[in-house]
Amino acid sequence: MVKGSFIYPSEMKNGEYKQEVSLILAKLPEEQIEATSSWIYAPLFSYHAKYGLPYGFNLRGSASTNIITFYFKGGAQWGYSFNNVTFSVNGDVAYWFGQLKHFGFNSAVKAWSGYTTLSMGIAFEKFTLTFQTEANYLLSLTQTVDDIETNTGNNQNLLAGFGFSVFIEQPVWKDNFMTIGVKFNRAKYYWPAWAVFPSWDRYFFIPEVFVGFVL
Amino acid sequence: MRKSFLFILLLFFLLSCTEEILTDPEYSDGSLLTGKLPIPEILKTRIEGIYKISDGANYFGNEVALKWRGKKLAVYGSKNGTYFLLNGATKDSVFYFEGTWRHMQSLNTGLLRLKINRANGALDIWQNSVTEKSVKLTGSFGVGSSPNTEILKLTYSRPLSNSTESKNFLIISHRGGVRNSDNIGVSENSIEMIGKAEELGATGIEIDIKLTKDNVPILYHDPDINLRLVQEAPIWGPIEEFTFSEIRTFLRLVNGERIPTLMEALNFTLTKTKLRFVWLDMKSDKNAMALVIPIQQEIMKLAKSMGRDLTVVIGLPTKEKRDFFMEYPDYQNIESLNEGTVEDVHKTNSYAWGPRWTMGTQTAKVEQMHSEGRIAITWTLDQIEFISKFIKKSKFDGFVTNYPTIVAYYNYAR
Repeated sequence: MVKGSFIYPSEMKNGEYKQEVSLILAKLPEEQIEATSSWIYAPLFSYHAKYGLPYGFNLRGSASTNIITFYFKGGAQWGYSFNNVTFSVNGDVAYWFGQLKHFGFNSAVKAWSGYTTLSMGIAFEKFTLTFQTEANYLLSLTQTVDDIETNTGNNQNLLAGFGFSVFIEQPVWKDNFMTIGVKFNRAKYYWPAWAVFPSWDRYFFIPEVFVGFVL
Repeated sequence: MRKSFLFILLLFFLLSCTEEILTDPEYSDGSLLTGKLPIPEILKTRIEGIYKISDGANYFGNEVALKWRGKKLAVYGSKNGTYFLLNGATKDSVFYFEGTWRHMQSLNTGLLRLKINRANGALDIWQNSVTEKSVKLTGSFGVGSSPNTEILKLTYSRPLSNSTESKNFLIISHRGGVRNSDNIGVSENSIEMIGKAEELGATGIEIDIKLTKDNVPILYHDPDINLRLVQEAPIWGPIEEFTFSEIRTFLRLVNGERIPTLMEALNFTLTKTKLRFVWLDMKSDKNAMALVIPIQQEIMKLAKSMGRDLTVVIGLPTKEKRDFFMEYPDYQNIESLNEGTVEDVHKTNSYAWGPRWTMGTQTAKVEQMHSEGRIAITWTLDQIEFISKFIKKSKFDGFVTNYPTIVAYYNYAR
């Protein structure tokens, strides 16, 4: 189970390479989209990869897009296994940018975000279960509307949000693994929704559903 | 696998049920103002101005604008949408103020008390000799319902911006005031909210118009009856499928108010407020022009007869609404606000142009509107950084905003 899974935070062999593609669907808060008819919004397509290093370390990277935004994230993870339980800690940095030039918008954005994540994985006979907690930081944010640009420092939104995730991974046919998960975000600033120009200094609940296929 | 998946689904639904509620705190030791006299009207404007904050700046920023709004002294700042609403009184030449503070962008609120002692400029106010640093408001504030423990000190810096009054800049509050999600204890699109709009810094309002099944124009935003807008009710479904009688009988807005008719809302605006501008956002799925325009015209006529400066515009957000409008007789002489292109504005001969703020300042087009005798209003501008820059750089005649307190600060401090 551990060998075929991707999110399960197992120690990787030196030089080992794993990759996964995923789709994330999020429900944005009514306050931000100003309607109650919301359910699933802005699908986010991602490619994830990780590369094994010695001593329980691995390098990770991902590229994501929701059409109007492109997001690149990289970092390192260290994991430690104890019987069928694995713990890991990782730090990541992301650069993302986007633009929207239709529907009454002439807007663009570019930003740096940072992440720290703690994970615990349990390997069962037929599947793995992984729990993650994450804190994310908005390190810098530049927003542009036509001829006006604003630069938001990291003072107000430094802790842009935190999240708790649960993932199940298991083979769906032969050795082909699928990941299903949910993530519960409490976020002041949720980057896929940058185009709504959020203005609150409050944390909102944003649930996500994650579906992935290990390649 | 199945059990684990059910566990995840259960967590998902449990965590979906979150709601944040905010209530105004109150003093438990009675009012500081009891036994004191009202502040004479002639003195009120002498207290207005831009003040620097020394103690308390970490909560409220470095600067605020003080402006009387009816019987209350309103204090507007930029940090997190800071505002205070204070009642005032005087005794032995000293001025006393008491009320609540709020950060509009968060749920932070609390109580505060301030006074202007004789030694801190009270006599300058009486003698009309207020100068820079001559007046100091000192006092304390608390967070939530806790007692006042934090020191607050405001020092007079300069008068409110001259250009503010001369430019007649419109601060138009969204949905009659602010949204339900801003938690001020009053429901959006209600008479009560329109009554709060001026305290929040607005000089105009934007309200949403739907038609009942029996063709009564009412104030309501969403297509359906839902718990974001109303309390639990025995009727459910599209709002326009119910008669006015059913809506009045069975529905209450989230804070308990009635859903008002357009006529009630405009009558209240005309007779009980000093608001200067009303934008009727035509949200009905039906062609409501023949029902709404006569009400608009009647209120405008009444306003004129009362010598009241009040403009009510028919909002034209889409091509469908513009087509409905152009079916109305003599539409070119009816005050409207067109959200389309400049060419669309010409077709409807609209009084105002209303582009989205996310298209930028569009200065050349705004100047063209001015040269044609029209005004330009952008919507819905909420981010502090952009409000600040649009106030400084754009030539719009007003903004629609969910944070009239923030726009008011930047407008008075420009």
